[in-house]
Amino acid sequence: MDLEKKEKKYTKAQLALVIAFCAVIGLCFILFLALPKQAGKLSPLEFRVLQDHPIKGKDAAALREDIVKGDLSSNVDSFLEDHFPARKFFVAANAYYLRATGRNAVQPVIMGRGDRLYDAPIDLRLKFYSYLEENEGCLEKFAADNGLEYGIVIAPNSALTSVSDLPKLHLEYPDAGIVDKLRQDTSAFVPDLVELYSSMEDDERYFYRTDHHWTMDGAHLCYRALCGILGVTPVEKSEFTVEEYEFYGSYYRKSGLWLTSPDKLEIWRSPKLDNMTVSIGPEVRATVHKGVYDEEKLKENEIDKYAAYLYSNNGLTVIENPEGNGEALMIIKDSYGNSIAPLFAMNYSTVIMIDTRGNYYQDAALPMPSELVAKYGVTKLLVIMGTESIVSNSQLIYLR
Amino acid sequence: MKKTVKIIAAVLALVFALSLAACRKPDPKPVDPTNAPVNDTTEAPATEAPAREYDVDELAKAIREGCTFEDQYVEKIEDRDFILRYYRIDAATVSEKDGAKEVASYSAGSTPDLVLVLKANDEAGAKAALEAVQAMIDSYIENYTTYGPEQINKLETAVKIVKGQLLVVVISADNDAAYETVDKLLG
Repeated sequence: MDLEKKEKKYTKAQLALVIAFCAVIGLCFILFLALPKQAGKLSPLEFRVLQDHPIKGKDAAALREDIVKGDLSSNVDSFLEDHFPARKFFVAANAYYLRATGRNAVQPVIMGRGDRLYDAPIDLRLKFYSYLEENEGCLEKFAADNGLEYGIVIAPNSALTSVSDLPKLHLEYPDAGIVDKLRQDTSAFVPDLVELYSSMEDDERYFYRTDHHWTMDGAHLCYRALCGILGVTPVEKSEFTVEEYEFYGSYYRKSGLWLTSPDKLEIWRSPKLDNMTVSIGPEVRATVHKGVYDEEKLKENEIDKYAAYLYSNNGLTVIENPEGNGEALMIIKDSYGNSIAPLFAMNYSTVIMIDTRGNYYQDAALPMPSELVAKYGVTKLLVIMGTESIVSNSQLIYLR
Repeated sequence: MKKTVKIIAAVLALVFALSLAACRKPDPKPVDPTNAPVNDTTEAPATEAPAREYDVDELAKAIREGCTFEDQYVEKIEDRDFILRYYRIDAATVSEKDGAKEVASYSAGSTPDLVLVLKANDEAGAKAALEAVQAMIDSYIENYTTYGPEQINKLETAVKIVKGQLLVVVISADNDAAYETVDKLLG
């Protein structure tokens, strides 16, 4: 009798569990159907386009094609992932769980002390990061062919400027070895920025807390160090008016650590900067702006506020300062160059910026870099990049 | 009780149906992008009639004119050797006509919009060229993830067709329509 009662109780408990399980799944499914979707739209939190509706707008032939290729199930999967009820909560729950269990130290974005986020070290074993020697050779050849005195400025991973703030289990960063190799293999001057930033007492203000870029203070410190080498007098921070804008950077968007407090982006104002002309693209159809900042990107609802510096990344950008010293400086850069170049434009009459990573060589109307050297009478070149760009295929091989 | 069982069975069936979505093809973004698997190829059937001759310049031009691109300046890159160097395609594997490599490309400065048509010496050459182009597309995806996420979809859904010796790659504002256009042009 007792056994029968126990069995009945057990069966009821099992049934309750099954019903509860189905209820949770069913509720999620109903919520998934009922809640509004942002299909194909930009997620402001993660700064990526969410998966579009996998079926909507497709005719039978297109659907058949998707099924055959396996795209339909893949798209349905991505659509479910991107529109799962309370997705934001679950992503954060996972991120904070990893942090609580110490596993955040080996995630792509690491959280250190003081609400600071850092990038994981790059893995030089990957083919993707095996282009350092090729890039060195290309820069050496380009500088020699065009008679340029040049420097390679590697913006380090922000983690290296405050190693003591990282979780203890973090992986090793290879940045110092890369700088050493550049010094050994090239004729360029290569400043050690890790040492420069680490030697400062307030080393935390030189890189953003939630973004991979250097702050304006970080760019300015680097600029001051380079002015000594270039033989120009640095313009001090006191000569600018500083404005602050709240934003969340690239690390934040990838981390899932949504409770991190917002960062502050500084815009350094000066009548000289406002008076500069910025031309983007080939001369025949250049977009010309007055002033070095894209004011649209500073508006409250804009996600990527760093894009305000020099109108983001473009193949060719030429800054002209009517009050400059009559000389021209060429900068081959990634996005780190966008915030520091206006500081050099305070000294030089012309700053020519080339970003080879994206579409420089895809634009049939853009001149060869050597033609720009000849046109503007450039004698000095700066290569300003993050560690990741100098070891990747940044397409420096096509400098000619 | 029977009704309850039916409801549970129905819900479970629904759950199983949805879980089929897990049977997806592999993530298009590999850990090491330069070793990206290439699986978007359309091979010529073994029984097909002798391969039709295509003029790469004319075909590229027709694709440029027949597809919709975001950038209004999708223009022809005239330097054929440079196109091969840019995508790291082995020039020895590319067919020649009148002393010039059979490759034609239209591209843009502000978006990854692209038309690339190449005729290799053989199908293996066309597939190797596609791998090289895929590596470049993967590096674009890396860049645009941070600076232009709205471009990612068109990069991930790029039209990539290998038909015999011929390779066609199109990155446009509407890749589904571009696929149809290319399909028609290839006959």
